[in-house]
Amino acid sequence: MGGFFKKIAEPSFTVIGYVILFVLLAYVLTPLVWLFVTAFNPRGGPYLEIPREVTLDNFVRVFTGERPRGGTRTAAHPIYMSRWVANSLIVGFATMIITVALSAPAGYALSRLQFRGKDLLMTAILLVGFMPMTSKMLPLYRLARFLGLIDNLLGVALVIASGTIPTQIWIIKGFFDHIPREIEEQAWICGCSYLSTLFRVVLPAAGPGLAVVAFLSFLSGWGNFTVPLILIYSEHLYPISLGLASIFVHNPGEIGLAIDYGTACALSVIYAIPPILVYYVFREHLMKIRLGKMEIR
Amino acid sequence: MVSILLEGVTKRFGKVVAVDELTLRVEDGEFMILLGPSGCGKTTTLRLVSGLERVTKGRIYFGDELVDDGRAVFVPPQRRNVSMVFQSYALFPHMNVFDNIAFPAYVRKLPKDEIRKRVHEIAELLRIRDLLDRKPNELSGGQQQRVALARALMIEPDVLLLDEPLANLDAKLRVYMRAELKRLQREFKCTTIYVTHDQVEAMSMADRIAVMNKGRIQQVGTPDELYNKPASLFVAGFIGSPPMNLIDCTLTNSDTLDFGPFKLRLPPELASALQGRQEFIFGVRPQDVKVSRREVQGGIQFRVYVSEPLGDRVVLTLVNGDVMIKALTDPDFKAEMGERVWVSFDFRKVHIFDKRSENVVV
Repeated sequence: MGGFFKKIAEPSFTVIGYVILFVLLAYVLTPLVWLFVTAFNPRGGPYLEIPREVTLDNFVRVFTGERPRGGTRTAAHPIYMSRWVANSLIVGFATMIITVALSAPAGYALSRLQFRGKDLLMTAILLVGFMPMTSKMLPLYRLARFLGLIDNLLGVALVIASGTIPTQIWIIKGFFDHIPREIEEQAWICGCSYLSTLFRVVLPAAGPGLAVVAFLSFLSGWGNFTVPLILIYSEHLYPISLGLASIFVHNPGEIGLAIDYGTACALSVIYAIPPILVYYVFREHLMKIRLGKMEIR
Repeated sequence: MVSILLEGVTKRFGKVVAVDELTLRVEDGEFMILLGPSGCGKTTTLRLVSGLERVTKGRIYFGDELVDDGRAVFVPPQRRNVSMVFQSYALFPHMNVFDNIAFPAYVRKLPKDEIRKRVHEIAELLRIRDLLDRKPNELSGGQQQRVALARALMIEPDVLLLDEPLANLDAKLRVYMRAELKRLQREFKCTTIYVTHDQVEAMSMADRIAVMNKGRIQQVGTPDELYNKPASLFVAGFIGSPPMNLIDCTLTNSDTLDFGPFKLRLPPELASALQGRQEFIFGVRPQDVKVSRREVQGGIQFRVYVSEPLGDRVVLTLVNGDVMIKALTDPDFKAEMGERVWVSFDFRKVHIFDKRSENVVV
């Protein structure tokens, strides 16, 4: 055994190790490199090529709706792309607002109140949160139809929020659990009413936790694909996820329509930015999520 | 400023009786300390006074005003004009020290200029003026404690409630803050209820002490009264350091206490008080045990079990058969382990308790 481990440290094995690492790295990074290179290449095509010039033209075109140089007619009229970005923002923010507005009071109540059946309720909430969204699609679709929420961005946000709220309740409860009860009692003794204690003391103290929940739920709305796929029909109401799919999946076979790969990749990069940004800003707080419990230091 | 009256107050949590038929009057401006082991109901009593808990039975008055009778009348904590310092200090983590101290004044919507002036005054008094911009997590335990105290004194409360405010400080700081707190309380003259399990803290600070055990008040009195005239075995054992020697004994021949290995003849006035009962507990403080190297009249022979010199005095542990007692002697009393000594008691300073009721007889 000892001999085997010694051999691993020998140069030949180190080389093999690097080869394995390189293959894995290539496997993970190729699509990303492809995406970024093409997004900044004004003449980007379906193949990975070294760009002759690096510009932001593709990004500009996402928002201006201009045709690419060369003038071929393209699938997914670029005029919609800026709308898709706006739609994704709408869905993201609406999901965030609904989720925070509903899960914060629920998390607070579950953290502070003791009542019969609380554990059962907590478990039930968790189980609902674990159910894949797609499994509920049929009733949700029928419900949305009944309520006239088909082809409606708010409807999309409501459905996504219904999926994110259970897990966010758990996360936010964890945050409230770490705010000592005595801080509230202190506020009452200082003369603060129960409601104003919530707004002046409890919520600000839970600020980092609320921010994490807000951005996680924003991401759920921003990144969701399945829900808009089922509830949105008009192309101008697509969020980015659906728009991208429509470029690559729905249209490429159509005769006479070329895919504007440069713009599509630029849109993909835009689509990828919020999660990276959120991770960067909240990396310290996100590390504190442990099994639905968070700590405030 | 206001006096507080708790009248037959009982607090139950489910089946647990935390406070049992407690009656206590705290005079206007008095420094009252609730002293007792953990779980004796002292913190619950404090929370009942603050309004954070409601009484199950009984009444609480602030001055003439009934604030809680467990049924119809309840003045919530917001309207009792009390201040409280929790053991954990309960500083608001998202506010800096200035805002923490100013918080009760903000809530009362006092003018901004006045708040600023008052915060600086009180920060000066408590020597935390340099810390006003810091957040609570940037402060040491002692600094946090002073911020909590500053916040409590910000609004000149009718009643100041302190729940083990010194428990989380290191020993040196605790002794320092003990004196500071006492000085502040005299200066502000506000009615204060202070909870602690530390008898030294209680003895050194209080006007009066209420000793609690198992939800009941054992004895209320000045530190001197509790030290010199403990009403029960519990108070005798709880107050004083090192603790009082408590030895089982029985009365024989109507004037002699039988300890097993030795007997002790009592003076007639003591003996007459013990008539009618048989089993007693004999209590004497280590300070009141006289130890001598030479045989003394009426002295009892003990052997030195261990001798612990403390610089200014020596703690001797002495044995005779299965009876073990502690005695304090002068620092120049050098005793070897196993050495024979003679022990006698000053009968004016012994306490004799009835074994069954645990109440004091003499």
